[in-house]
Amino acid sequence: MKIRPALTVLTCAVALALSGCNLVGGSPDSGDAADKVTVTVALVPDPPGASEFYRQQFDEFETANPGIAVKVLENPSDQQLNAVELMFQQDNAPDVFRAQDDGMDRMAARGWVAPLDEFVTPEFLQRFPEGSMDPATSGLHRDGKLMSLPLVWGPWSTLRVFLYNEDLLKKSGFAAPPKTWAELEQMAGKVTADGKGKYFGYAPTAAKALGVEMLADTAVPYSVPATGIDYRTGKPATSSPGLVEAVELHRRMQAAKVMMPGWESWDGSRAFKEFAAGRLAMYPTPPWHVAEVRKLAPEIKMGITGLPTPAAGRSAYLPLAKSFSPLWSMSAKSTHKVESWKVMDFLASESFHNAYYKKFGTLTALEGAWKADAEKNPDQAAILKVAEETMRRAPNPALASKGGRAMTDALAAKPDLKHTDAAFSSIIKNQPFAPVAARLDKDLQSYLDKTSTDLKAKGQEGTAKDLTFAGWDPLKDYTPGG
Amino acid sequence: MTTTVERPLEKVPVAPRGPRRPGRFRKHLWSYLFLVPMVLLFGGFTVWPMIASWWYGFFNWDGVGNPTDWVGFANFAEVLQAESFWRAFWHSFAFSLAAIFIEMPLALVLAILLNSSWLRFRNLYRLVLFLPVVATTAVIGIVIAILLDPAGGLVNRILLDTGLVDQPVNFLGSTSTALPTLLAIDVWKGFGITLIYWLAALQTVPKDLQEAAAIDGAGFWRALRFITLPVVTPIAIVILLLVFQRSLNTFDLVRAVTEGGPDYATDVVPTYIYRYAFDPSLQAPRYGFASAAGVVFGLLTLVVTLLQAPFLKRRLAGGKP
Amino acid sequence: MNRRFVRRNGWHLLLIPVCLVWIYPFVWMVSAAFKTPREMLIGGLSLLPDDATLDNFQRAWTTAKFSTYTANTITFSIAVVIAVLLVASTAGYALARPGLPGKKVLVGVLVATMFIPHGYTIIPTFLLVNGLGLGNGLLGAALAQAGPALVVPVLLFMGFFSGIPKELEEAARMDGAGYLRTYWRVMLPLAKPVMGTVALMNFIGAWNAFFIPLVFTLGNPDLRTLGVGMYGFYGQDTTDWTGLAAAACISVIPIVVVFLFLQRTFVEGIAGAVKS
Repeated sequence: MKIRPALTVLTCAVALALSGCNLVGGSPDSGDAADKVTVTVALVPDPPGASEFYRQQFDEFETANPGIAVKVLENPSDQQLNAVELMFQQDNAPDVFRAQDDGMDRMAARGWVAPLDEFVTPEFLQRFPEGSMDPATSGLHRDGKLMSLPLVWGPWSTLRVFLYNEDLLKKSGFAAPPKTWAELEQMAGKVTADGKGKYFGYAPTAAKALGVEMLADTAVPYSVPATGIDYRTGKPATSSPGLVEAVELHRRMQAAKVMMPGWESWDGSRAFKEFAAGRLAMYPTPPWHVAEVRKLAPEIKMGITGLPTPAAGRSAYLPLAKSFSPLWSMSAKSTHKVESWKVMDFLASESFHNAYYKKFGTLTALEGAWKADAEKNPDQAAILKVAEETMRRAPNPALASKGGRAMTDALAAKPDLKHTDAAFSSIIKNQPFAPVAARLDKDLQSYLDKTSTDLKAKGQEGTAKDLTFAGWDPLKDYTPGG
Repeated sequence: MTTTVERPLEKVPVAPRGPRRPGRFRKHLWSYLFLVPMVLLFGGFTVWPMIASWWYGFFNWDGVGNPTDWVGFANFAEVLQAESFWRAFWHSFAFSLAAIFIEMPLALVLAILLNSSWLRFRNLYRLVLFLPVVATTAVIGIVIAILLDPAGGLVNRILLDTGLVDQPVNFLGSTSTALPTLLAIDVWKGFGITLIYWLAALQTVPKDLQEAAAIDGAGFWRALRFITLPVVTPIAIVILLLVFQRSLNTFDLVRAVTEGGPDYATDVVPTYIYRYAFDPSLQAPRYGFASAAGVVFGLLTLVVTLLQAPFLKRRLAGGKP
Repeated sequence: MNRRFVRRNGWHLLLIPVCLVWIYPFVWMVSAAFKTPREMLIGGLSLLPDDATLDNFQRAWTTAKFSTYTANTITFSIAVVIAVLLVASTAGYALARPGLPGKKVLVGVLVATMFIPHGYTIIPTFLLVNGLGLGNGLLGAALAQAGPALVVPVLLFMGFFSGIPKELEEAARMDGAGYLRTYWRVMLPLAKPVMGTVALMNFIGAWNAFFIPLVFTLGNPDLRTLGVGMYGFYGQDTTDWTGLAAAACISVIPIVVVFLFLQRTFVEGIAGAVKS
């Protein structure tokens, strides 16, 4: 008994001494070796396999750029923004960091994002499709300054496709995918009945019934499910019949137990796993699921088509509200801006985008990197076809005016005013959605009014007018000023 | 040697004795010295953040830079009126009730069983029962979610095959069963610690007392009632407080398995606070509001505990059955 | 004799199935660690992998840097345990001294803070640690982890030391021992069972800790611990399940070892303490 405690203490002491440096830690900038500049890149381990991929790519970059060493900092995906923010507060910020959409705006609002215009050359701009880098519509510019570089193809973020398993549908006597919501409901019901618990006809993609928003995008202008506001009028429109019917459709299917059970707890990947396993026959999805399904089940007879529309006919198209989604940003506090730009330039190079496309099947921002190959790949060719047929340019108040940005930011700050939670509740509790939608519209209107008053009091722009694009026809491409 | 009854975990309230003499002062000096590390560490890392968060509660602040948007009691008022907060509060309490009324008694029963010297492989059973405690909550929670899945999960498959149900049970996706399921998982996860606490408590019962009782012909139940339980009761109060506190702070499990859903049916106060303080989907985190919610929650639990204090104190000091 | 045998060993009939069901999720997790990602996602729920592979472990150990993280977590956890043991035992001993003015206030504050939820207090903690200049190593994290964890150990030590008969203390004083020596030579060795419990609980807590180690190792991913590293397997929309399972297995083994080790000293300690 005497020896053991002594031994324990000794081992602990030795372990502590050895890792003493671990406890106190070195200074944040452990000194650049002479002539070598270290650029820190903060990113997330997404998709799976990304860690090795990025390290490999950066190693190649380092070989081609001997004066620069790239240090990669990985954060858990849902903590990335918080982690980078804390690093800024610690005066220990990364030089390049991944911040998408709202995240980038959050960073920019704090003054932490460096504009990239000083580094951009005409040659650089030529890499991108014609007109896509126009400050008014690129999605990457704020106040006319380039703030971010993209990773994925513009339409990739807002495109939605409808996947169906040809074999399962054929088993129930259907030769083609549903074109309308009525057909969807009928087909899904029959497939689930035939499946007898082994496979199911339909699922709304993920928890909180994401499928509702996707289907509704064919019935109402995209802004209605996205924010609750109809951008044609600048007024709340959650009660729009198209959105209400989309919710009711799911509510009926839920009550009839047609949808695959357990979907209420699904994360972002469950749907494609079930589809690949042949347990789910149809569902709407963002296009990245396609590559994942193919990876898991190379032989599956997967059909890719546009989303079903209401029986009365299509009232809207999927929106193309900006050319790109922001992803890579440079820190305004970086002490190595030139070298950081070199890294970012690499991340926007054709070789990198080509490698990313080859590895993950994602259509990246530089079309030249994959266009030729994609057309030869049946899955990707199908995706491209759906994009062409079911997407149209749409207005984007956040890019159109300062006031518009202020209003959209305010709306984004109140997620409970969005239809999602209320719709989900209606679906699983089997209660009508229309009264709830009416209430949401009322709350939305008072919130809009309050926000305008507050903005005015602070001397800033922002009214419902900034959310109004009176001439917009959701069935046609939108052109600003007409 | 006379037998002294060991009550290692009992708090003994002591009144100050006699006038202060220099020797005593020096003794107290040492005591205060001994207290300095704790005061520093605890003060710096628990008290200071708490007070700071009371301060933050008065602001509309997103966590970066300095709070500048003073809103007075608006956050606190909003918390107290928010239906979502109260719902989370009752859910948190549900976890505590489950821990106190299900986990504690069950653990006591098993502790008594595992304490019996005639049971072979006691240590093995104890290790097995403790195993869930050491697992990373997030991972093991997800494993269980997979096992409970209504579309092909193992549990449902067994239930369907044996004919106990005709439709798969959506344990975690249905608002009626999600919370009870999580409660069960929480009990499973924390059981090992409570078991160890009870074992420690049972082992403070002096052996000679038990032997004396056996010689006098007392059966198992009588010995339990008149010897074991009185000795163990003060410690039981401490265990109660510990279990109560641990279960109130259940966060990892809820966040990993249901994230408070479906439709906030399993939302607890820690996930509620987390959502407002750190949720990346929020454009601007409402750290001030989250702090206010935390303060309100702390005060409420304090009040509830204090309300029970008279009842508990009697049990603690007296140790009477 | 027969009835006694049944009564005693009949318990095993109940306990064994319960234990099997009890650890089933564990077993499942271990088996998942050996499966290929495809089998994990598509395959059934059988426990035996069709295509056993060690790839996941390798991925976790090298690519996901779990070797480094394990070493870090050991340092971190030991630091937390030592901090808690030292600080709590000294404070508990001091608080157990009779007639100490201000004791009720201190204990009251301790108990009151027990019920305050912790998660959102991370930002002031972060500011404090940065202000102290400890922001870049595990020491700051260990202190931040140990601080709030002090309440229960202090109360445990306090209760324990109060229960030690005065004769022991007076005997030590008659032998000429001062305050410090009484504490170190006489009281502390007696407190082994409490030390064992406190060490075990805080080791487990520190081992699985996520938030505090994350916040304090932001700029230095090399210093991260297992709890943080585990979350690296969660992508934005998809998760590397088999890698995660392998990582969880790696993470669980040291704790089980520590538990086995401490469990025995703990039991012996209590038995010794009772025999006065």
